[in-house]
Amino acid sequence: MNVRVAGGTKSKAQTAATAINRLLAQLAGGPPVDCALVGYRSWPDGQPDVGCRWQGPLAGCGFVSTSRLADAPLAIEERVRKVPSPGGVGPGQQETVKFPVWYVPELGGPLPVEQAVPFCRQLLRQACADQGPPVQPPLVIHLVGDTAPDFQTPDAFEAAWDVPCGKPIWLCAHLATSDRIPPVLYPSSDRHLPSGPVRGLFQMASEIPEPLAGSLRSAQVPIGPRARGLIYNARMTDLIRLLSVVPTCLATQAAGTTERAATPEMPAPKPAESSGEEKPSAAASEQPAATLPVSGAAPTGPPSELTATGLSSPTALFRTAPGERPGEEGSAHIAGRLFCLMLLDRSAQEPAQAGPKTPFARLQEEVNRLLGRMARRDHPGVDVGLLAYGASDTADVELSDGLDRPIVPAGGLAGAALRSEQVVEKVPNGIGGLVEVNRQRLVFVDLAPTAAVSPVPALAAAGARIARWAEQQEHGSGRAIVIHFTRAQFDPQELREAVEKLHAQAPVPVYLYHVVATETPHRSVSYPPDSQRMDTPELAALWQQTSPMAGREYLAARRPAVSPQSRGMVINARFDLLDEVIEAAGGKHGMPARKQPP
Amino acid sequence: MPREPYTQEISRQNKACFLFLLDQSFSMEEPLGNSSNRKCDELVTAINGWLYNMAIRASGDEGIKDWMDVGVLGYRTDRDANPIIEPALMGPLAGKTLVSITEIGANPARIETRNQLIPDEETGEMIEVPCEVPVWVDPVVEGGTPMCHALYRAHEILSQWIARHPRSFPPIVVHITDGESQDGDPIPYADALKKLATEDGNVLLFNCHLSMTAADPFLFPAHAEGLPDELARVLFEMSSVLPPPFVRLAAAEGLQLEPNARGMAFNADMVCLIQFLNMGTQAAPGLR
Repeated sequence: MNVRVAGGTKSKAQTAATAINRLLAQLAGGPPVDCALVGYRSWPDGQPDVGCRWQGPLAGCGFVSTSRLADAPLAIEERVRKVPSPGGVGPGQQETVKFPVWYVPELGGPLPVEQAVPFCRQLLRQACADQGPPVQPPLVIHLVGDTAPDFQTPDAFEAAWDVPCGKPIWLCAHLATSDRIPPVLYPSSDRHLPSGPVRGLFQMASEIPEPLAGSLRSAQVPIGPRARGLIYNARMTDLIRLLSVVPTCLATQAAGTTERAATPEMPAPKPAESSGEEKPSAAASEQPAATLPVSGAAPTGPPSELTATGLSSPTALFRTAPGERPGEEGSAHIAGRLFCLMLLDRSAQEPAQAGPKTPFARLQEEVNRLLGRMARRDHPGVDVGLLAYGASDTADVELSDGLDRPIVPAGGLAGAALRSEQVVEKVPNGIGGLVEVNRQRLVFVDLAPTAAVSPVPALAAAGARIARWAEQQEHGSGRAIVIHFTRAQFDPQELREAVEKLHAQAPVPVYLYHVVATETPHRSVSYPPDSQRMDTPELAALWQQTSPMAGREYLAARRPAVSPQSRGMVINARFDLLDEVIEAAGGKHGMPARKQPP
Repeated sequence: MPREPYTQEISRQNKACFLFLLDQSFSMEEPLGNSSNRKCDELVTAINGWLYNMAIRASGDEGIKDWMDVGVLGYRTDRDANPIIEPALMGPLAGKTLVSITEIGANPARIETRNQLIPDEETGEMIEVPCEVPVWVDPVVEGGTPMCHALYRAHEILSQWIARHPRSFPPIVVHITDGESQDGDPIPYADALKKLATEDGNVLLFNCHLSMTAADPFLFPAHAEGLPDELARVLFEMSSVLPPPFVRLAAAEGLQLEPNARGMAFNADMVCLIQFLNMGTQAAPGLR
């Protein structure tokens, strides 16, 4: 924990301490929660040192109600926040802020986490004995050093939690020391994890319960189904993002407390109380609804010590709202769903050529960008599919599914990604400069280009996929958008035949759009109303087969790139109106939900 | 042995000169690619940001460094298609073609409160912080694109400046447009401008094309063959080859440029425009 954190100037321990202190400051201002801070490390002689790490007025306490924190910081530091100058050049401005500190790291030698587990268990057992078991499991945030957990069997950690409240919700966070190592964020399975400590941590980490997962998603963090509460080789941003959802969740749940207390089948929680020799805090006991004991957690560090924070979940932190079924889309209520099928043409003039600038690489990048965008936006009532087609080794048409299932609800897209990469993007800072932003980039498709093949089987397969989707819809209604990513080198006759097949197979109305990356230079064109600006007959033929933009009249009044005659085609450009088109095709404007008889 | 061109250190004795040519034609009303903001608004935001940076950098520990002259020239046509080529600085500096960076720093037209996006060091999150920024240039949109007239005026202004500063690093002209010239072929005018020279080298003309389409951008291309259309090829012809010291500097910062890469951006969005302005500035030694 004494090494520098990736992308920062401070050590991992200091970075973690800043994050913990900030979280405590946030909790101090919210509804009271019982909270413990546990550290684990070894002494120079190798003896373990596990215990609560409260310092100052709280030294010696176990669980502490957060209502007491405001009056008991160890110190209030003045920290200087640097505000970069516009453009990031030249001297920045500085601003002094008050920063309360409850925890200061004191490092020791490494200690495997399983040696800290008995202490946490005891702390929880004591809290359960004092206050009765909590209605909801406690929440543990485990800040991990580089020491690998060493459980004898995968179940050993589960088995360690023979406490009345059961195994806590366990979230693991490990900070990176190098910018070059990509982080692992909220994995759903250990299939793609690198070897090493992260695999052991995956076993420990709990699946993220729904309200927390929802909060993370709304903070633009992609959380797939069954994602575990684990961030590894994370940047400070990732850690802060993880921690910042905790107060939000607590506040939301506290707001529902009154209603919950009135529910007869729920036992009324006992007044809050701190553990250890602490007396019950007055503020906490005045808030009967808000309290349950909680757990402590422990982190570890390599040449380290560690710190941990335990957090209790006060009220029904992880209870689902009435009538809500977690994990299910509310989609059934939306009349006329939409199926959005990405169809990727893998053909290339020179398939052996590689590089980020080849037309195929650009098309694939655009597929990933659009799917990533849909994963973040979580369009309700929209399902997504991804088909790629190219030539097999025997020169036959080869069709491949890009996602793990043929039809994926847009809300589950993040979980269908092959992998997630951290990229640094530059964005305008609003005053004429640029600022670097860490973004999560989801990769859904990563294929190689092939020789050219006929589009007929691929578009027929797209039609069949739409038919399969339509069968699952109520009354067979709905609409489909096919976005065809191609270099546009089709024989016009073959193309016409292919498009006819698509429409013949699909039992619902289909919009066919095209995203083109040309192999020879061509000007950028977006949503053209005619084929005048197209330099080749192939592009003009493709425009002929492209559907009008959904909602084009609505968009024409708002987006200068769109006219009332616009078709859904872009050449050497981004399809930047996908969200708008999905909304429009989803029924806001015009198109009937059932296919009209010919 | 003669010194390598484009290596004159910038100082109070050997000032630098930056001249911006801003397209103010009606099409600048359209939004810039990847954004919902108008091209003209994004352009003046970038220019004001650049001026602010330069003004800050000119005010070092040794007081104000009077090491640079800056001009901002807008071009458009009036209702009768007559070209309007005039200085775009507002406020106390209105009407002046070239002014010292110290005058710029001391005389913004006004101070505005804008929301700045910054990474918060305490939290790692991106937050919007209101901040006060000086404004020197306002958006103007009207009429057509008299590019040749603008280049001609730039030639007049810079020949006078060079006569007064014969040893300086040569002036850098940064031309930002979104369309094609409507008053003739601009290439001969650009060539004449590029023929102007100080003892340290010829005037550098950098061209940036803004796109409404969220298009694939081209930054510093080295060949005309790969460019998407005629407009891009014209801008390529107009643009100076980046001098070797600049190419070396870019390489040191991880940007590999092909030999004979030109100071040109095509299909630029806001990110590309700001990068272009910053890179253009770095062509001058001492500002790097």
